[in-house]
Amino acid sequence: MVNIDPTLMIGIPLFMGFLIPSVAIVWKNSPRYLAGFTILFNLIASTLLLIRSLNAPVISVLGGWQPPYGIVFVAGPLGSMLALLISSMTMLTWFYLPPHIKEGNETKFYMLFILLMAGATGMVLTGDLFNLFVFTEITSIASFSLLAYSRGKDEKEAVEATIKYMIIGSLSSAFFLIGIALLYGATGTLNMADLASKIPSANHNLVMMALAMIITGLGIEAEMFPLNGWTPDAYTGATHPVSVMFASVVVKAGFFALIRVVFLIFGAATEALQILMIFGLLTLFVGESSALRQTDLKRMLAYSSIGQMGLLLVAFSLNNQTALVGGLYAMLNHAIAKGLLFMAAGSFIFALGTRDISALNGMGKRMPVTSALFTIGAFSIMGLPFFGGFISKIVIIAGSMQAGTEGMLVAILILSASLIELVYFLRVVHRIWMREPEDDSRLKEAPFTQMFPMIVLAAFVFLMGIYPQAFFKVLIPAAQELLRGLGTMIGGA
Amino acid sequence: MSITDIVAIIGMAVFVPLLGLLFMGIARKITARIQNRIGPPFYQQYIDVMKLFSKRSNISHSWVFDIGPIFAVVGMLTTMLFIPMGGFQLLSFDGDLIVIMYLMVISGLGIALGAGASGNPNSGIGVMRALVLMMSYELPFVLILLSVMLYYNTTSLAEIVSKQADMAWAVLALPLSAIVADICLQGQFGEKPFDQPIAPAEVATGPMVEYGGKYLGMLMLWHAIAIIVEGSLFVNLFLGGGIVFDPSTYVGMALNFLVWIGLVFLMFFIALLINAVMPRYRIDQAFAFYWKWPTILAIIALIYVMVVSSW
Amino acid sequence: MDYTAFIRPEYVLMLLFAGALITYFAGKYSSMARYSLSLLFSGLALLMVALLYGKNTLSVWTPSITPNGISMYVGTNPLTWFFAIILASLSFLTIMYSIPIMKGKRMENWFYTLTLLLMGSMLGVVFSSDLLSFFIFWEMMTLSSYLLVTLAGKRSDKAALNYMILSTMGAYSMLTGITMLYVHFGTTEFSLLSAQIPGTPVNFLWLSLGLVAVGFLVKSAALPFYVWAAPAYSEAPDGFTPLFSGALSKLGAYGLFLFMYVIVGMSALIGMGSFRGVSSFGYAIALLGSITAFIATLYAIREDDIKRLLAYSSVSQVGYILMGLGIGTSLSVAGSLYHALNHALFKTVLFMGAGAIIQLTGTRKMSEMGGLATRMPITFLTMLISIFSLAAIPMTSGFGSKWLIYEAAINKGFVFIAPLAFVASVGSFLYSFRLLQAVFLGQLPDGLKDAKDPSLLVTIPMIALTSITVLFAIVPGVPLGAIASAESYMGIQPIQVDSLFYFRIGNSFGAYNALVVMTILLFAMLVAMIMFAFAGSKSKKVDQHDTYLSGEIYEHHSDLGLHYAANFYRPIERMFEPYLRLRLERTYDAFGRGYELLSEGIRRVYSGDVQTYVYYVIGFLGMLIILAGWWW
Repeated sequence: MVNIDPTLMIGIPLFMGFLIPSVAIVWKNSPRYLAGFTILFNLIASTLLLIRSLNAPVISVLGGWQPPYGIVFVAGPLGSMLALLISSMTMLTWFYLPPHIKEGNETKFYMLFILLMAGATGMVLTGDLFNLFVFTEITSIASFSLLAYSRGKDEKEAVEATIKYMIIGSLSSAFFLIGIALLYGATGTLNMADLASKIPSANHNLVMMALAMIITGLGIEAEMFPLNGWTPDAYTGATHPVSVMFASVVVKAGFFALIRVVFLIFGAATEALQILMIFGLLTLFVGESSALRQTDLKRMLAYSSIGQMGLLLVAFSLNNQTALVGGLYAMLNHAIAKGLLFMAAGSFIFALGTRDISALNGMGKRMPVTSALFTIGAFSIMGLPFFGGFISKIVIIAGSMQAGTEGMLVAILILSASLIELVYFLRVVHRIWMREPEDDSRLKEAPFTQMFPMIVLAAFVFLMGIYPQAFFKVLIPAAQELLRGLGTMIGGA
Repeated sequence: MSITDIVAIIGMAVFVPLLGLLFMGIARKITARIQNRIGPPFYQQYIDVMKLFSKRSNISHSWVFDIGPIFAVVGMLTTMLFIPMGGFQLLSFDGDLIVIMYLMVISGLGIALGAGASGNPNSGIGVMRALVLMMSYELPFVLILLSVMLYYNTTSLAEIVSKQADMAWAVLALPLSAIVADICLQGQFGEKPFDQPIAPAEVATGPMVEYGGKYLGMLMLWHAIAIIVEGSLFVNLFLGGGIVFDPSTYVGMALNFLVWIGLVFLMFFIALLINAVMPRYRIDQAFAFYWKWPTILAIIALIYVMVVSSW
Repeated sequence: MDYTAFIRPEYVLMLLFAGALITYFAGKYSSMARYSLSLLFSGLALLMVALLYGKNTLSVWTPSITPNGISMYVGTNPLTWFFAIILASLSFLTIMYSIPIMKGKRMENWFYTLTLLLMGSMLGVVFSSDLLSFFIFWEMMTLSSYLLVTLAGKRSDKAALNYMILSTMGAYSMLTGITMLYVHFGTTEFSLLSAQIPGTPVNFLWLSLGLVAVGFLVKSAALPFYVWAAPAYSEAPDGFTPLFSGALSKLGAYGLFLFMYVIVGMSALIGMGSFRGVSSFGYAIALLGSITAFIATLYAIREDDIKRLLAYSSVSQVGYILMGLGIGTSLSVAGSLYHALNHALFKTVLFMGAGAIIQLTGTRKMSEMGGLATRMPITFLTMLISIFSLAAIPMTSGFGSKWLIYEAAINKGFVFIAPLAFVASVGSFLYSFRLLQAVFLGQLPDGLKDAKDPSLLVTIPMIALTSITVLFAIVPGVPLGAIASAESYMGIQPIQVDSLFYFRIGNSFGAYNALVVMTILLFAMLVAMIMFAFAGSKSKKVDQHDTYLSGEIYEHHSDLGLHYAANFYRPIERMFEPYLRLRLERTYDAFGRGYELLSEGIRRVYSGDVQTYVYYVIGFLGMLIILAGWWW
């Protein structure tokens, strides 16, 4: 079997990112194809990586320097699964892009697009805390720029959202960096595995301070309440494919970084998990409640994303295998279904010219295919049987039940939030199919290139609902990896 | 089922309406005397029924209208056969108190159907009042039935009668229950102050307003049987079914039967006396009345039974 | 070829789900195909369910689909079969009835697809033999019934949403309960679960069973969850209501039977605490059932809307089912199952008749109808007999079941439950007569002069169900035979049924001999008919306006109308009203509105002002640092 070094999955996109503008000078249409080619490469590479990592974690060392001194990439089942998720979501978004990009500016857009993917992939694969910071920065900067990149009348809104995101995002990097510095001061290393082994003997106060800083810094990326002020504006202001990337890639990578730091480096520090649990539940309720009264479709989806991230935080902080598998499943499901929802919503908004939910009346008749796809995504998020969300919900509930009486309380809270979610999604779906439209005319469906990614995502949503066993094959080792901690995983390396 | 049983059933089916008509005749006489009138002869009801059945002109509104009187007679005849009557326990082992309670409803619903089909608003109002009245007295009455059933630990009326023969009459054992049951009996008889369904001055005899000729004749028969059935239900529940002599001898049986007739008449007589001197409640007043004091008393009676039987 | 190999529950489900899909696509092109295919699939499924009688199967249904490799089981047993045959036959008959009723209505094709889907998922609920598939089918059933309600268009929006929210609330409560059971016992299959129940801590059982029961009580529309029922039943499309009320409302009771008697089992249930030999849990259910029956009756008495009246009546009758179910003695469980059957029979006919009448008159207001008895004799007679069954008149099957429930309640000396049930039953005379009077009796409005019975497709199901009601009145032993085997499956002493056509039910405590009662009724009927036929002279038919009006002339007052139907029970409504004003709906509404307001407030957290957000971040960090110093 061909082995592709994980380093290449970062290196090639970075290189292509610089190549794209230069080639574009000679060949005007090249950026799209070059970007597509790069993403395809990453897709293939991450697939191969996932297959390899299921047997044993793939460790790649940069420049021959052995850890803990050199830069290292560690691809366990979890990391490579996420890398695959990132590259495939990017690929599908790439298909979805064309009508949403302002003409004449493709070059910059594709460059940033590739960088975003590279950064996110780096975030999930790196085995070094400082590298994590670097990749987080790459991702953030690419996100800021992509967010500002909006067309037409939304431009002002997008710019405003970008400024907000940048201010808060720079706070995030600052705190994260301070946290890293403190850790380095306490232990003298930044390699994650090395850190994990050295932390128990390090200065406790310093480590805790660092943990607080890192949680704050990464919590911003992971949309944790109350650090997620940037989210609604960013999702709403961004052009549709970028919203998809935010929901399915950027936030997931940020969340994974947070979880990795808490679980792998701090060995599932219980105090930190309690904090995450409480703020996860808060995030869940604040997100879902805010979505309840929304009249703006994208804003509603944004708040729903916040709620789902809260659910993930809760699931992970339960810290048992069932809950972790459920959390990972929810993470996958959310990435796929919310991506689908943002794409379908994008098509609606593109066709209607408004983000107002009340404009969706009777869309089932006006844009049947997109409506059906939107409904599939919504059903999955609502957790109806035969959709991915159902499995994740059941597994998370089963996991929380294992945590005793408090776990039961958590289960009840999760389900109550889920009820709120059901209500607002049902309202939208109901509008789409059951209400009579004011204007009966048929709207033009999205072209096939845009329909294709949605159909693929919808198929995955179904697949996750009816054949979860396939996903569990990857998710169970991934959850075990998290539970075991990084130190044991790479052994003496 | 032996041939004597069948003879007894047919005999009773003939005898009870005649007895009821006699009671009605006497009732008219008594009411007249209380109101200082002479009144018709006691056999006037027989003459009336015969007159009605031989009338030449009968009007009908539809076939549903015809169902009314037929169902009325069917329901009451059937109910009658399940009630022990002074030692005659025809079918009472094949249906207990609950069966009887529901069989009694058939005739009521039948009349209601027929009355409704007449299309006369007075009938509709009358039926409404009858149903509301039923709901009114049924609450305390059910509580009382429950107290009796729990006290004797059976739902079979025949069992209740025979247990009273062994122990004391229920009127002595459960006096409060008997009082409430008598208040309910006033409503069941439809005598004042609970004659709202008929209320001749308000709704022109309510459900009966459109009925004449043989229809009215059948309704009179129904009323005659109903008096005996309702009175007998009380006698069976509280007055030992009128069994005071040894029922194994023929003389005893005959005497028991006479006692039963006497007791049923007594209950009817009490109702008549109240009827003669009382004005009429409005239907909502009747409802409020029954769901207040009789119900409270019935609950006390029920608690008493629960305390007694738990000893 | 051996066909019996295909008589298995899993094939019934497959047939229906495939059928729903095929019907959808075929129905898009031809309405004939839609009708015939949906009839074919539901009929075939009914046949297969009927042939399942007496079988006991259990099979693994799909490959494992959860992380710990839980399998899904589907099977049949006497209890399952009893419910399955009710559900299947009602579905089939309702589809038949819907053909003329739903013709040309909104989204007609979806109606048949969803009805088949609902039939499949309802049968799935009863056939499933493990927690997971039970829950999945349960959710499917809720969703498809929700969609069916919404088919009625905009006016059903709120009702449908409320139904869905309450059902989902119930389903989530149930999910919490069943996950507790799964995590505690490590298995989902019912028989394996019930084998492990003995010795389980009582608190655990109370909690898990209570959580599960909430889901079923919601579906049964029991107090305090009944608020969805009247709007949802009445706003649902006319073609769906018979199935909704007749079949779907029984599944809550089925779930309770399943969890209380099959999974937890009688001895463990008694072990959870008992009251006069009745488990406290069951007593609580019975109490809820009786109060529901009583309150819903009061609501039904006030209704002028025919579908809402029947809806409240459904709620009340399901209360009786819960009552019998909770008491849990041999008599009461038999009564409960029998009442489930009876309610399915009569309420379906009533809703079918109501649908036909609504289609004819174009209104649901009963006071605008009247005098239809002579114009629609078949509808009238079938509905009349069904109302007799509803009111438990001994000529119909409905009496047997209520008799059993009363006997059981009195036998146990339940002085709170029994009178409530009895008075509720008297109240049912009131509202059912209101329906008869307002719709069929009284004065025929001029606009309905040429009304006539609906088409055969409507009347055949009604006649079929009504004849069963009458038949079972004479031979209650036939249904009770099936009920007895279901009872012994649940580990309850089966009610005594000696021979196939058993007429007498009862014990030393009381008795009801159906044959004697029916014979005497027929005998009395003969006497009365003879008396009627031979006495006097033949009657003369007169016009409906030719009535005694105290000397007034109708023509002078024809604008007033003579139909006494509006505000029928006004005198007592006035008495109830102060109490009924404390409607539970208001509480739910207030809660819903309150939460929306709260969420509006929560939304303000996202002020859109970046300075605020920065404060949040700094505040959060400060809090973490303080916490780190204090606690860690």
